Amino acid sequence: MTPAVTPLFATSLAAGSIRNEVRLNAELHTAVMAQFALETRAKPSRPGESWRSQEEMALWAGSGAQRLRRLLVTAADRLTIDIGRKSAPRYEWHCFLHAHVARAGEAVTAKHRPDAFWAGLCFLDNGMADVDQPLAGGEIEIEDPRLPVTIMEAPQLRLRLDLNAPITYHETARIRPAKDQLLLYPAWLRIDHLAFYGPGERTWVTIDLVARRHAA
Amino acid sequence: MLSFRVVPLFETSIYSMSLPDHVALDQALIRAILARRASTPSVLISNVGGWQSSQDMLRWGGPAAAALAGQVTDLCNRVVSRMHASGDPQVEWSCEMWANVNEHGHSNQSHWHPGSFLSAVYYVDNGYSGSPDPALGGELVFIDPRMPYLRMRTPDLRHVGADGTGDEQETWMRPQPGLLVMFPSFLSHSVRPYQGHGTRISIAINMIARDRTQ
Repeated sequence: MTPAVTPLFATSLAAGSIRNEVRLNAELHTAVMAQFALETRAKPSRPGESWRSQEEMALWAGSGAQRLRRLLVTAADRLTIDIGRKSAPRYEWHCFLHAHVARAGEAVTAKHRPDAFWAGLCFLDNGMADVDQPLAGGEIEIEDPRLPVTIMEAPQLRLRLDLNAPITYHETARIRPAKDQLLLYPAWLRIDHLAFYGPGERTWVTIDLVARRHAA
Repeated sequence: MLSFRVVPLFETSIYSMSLPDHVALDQALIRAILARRASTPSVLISNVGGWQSSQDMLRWGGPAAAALAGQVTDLCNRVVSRMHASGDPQVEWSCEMWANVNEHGHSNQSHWHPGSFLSAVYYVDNGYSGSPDPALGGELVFIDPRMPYLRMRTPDLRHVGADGTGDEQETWMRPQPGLLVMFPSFLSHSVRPYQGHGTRISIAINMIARDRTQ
């Protein structure tokens, strides 16, 4: 008799794409590269560090950022349940976007906005020059929020997640970024960018969606 | 409008099975447990009321307790794998076992089992006498290991999961005779007050893993 496996308390990762949004990627990419040139001319990034826009994209990225913000607010509404809502929405989303550019070998420091409910990443260019280059690294690594408790007692053992297939627990999940890829996840989730050695410039937008309650 | 696929990450796995032909096993376990209760005072650990034995049931539980330990050990070896290896996980399991007898109003407060890798509970008698009435209580409650930070800033908001529902911070399991439930020992759990007028008997087990390769 095969025991039943009941998975409880999953952490949600919402995976989507902006591919079908006409010219959105191109518009955002053009704006980001222009701001990158402007800011790094005035104040170059520290050696070995990737670039993060000083200012929030609403101040300089024009209509592309406005479109992305509207799409994300709609997505946040669909991906969130307010258990206390009776009729009218009680919360309003405030969306904050920052642009990033990384070149081969540059470190990326993930920033967390503590008041956000959802956080996310939108990749405008994965920096791989349209070729799949597994050895170029640059994966996004998501850390199990239960750590380290899952591996403290018996570090050599892993629980099987499916008793009919060789699928076992792993303490991180890795994702290879792709152009147009959009990821949303709980803002308290720890995300790391593994070292990237691709031939191009990796360009992406970080997203913070803050839910603010309307005054009573 | 963007479309999304929600991928569930980092679930906590619960394993459960109904032991085949458990009636004779249950009767033998009931005899051993009630005899022990008649001669030995309760320990006071997570139990709020009720009687709980010490963790040495394998010494006084007879062949029925040994048979249950064998079933639990088999289940451990099925749900565990060794990193970077297939087949036998090369673990020597050490079993701590104790009995719980709850009557009207008794419960167990939330707790973990540090020092153990897997924990299990086996239901000998749910005390329901066949009634499906949920008001009888006595459910096993699992508490989300991500609590409380899941709820700290915006307690009313839920992230939608892969099934379209919001994430909840606990889940309840209604006991059935013959049901064996296994879970990671770090998972906080409790037992809701039993409101029936029978006797609810369960056996709790900690499985301590020792590496056979060392």
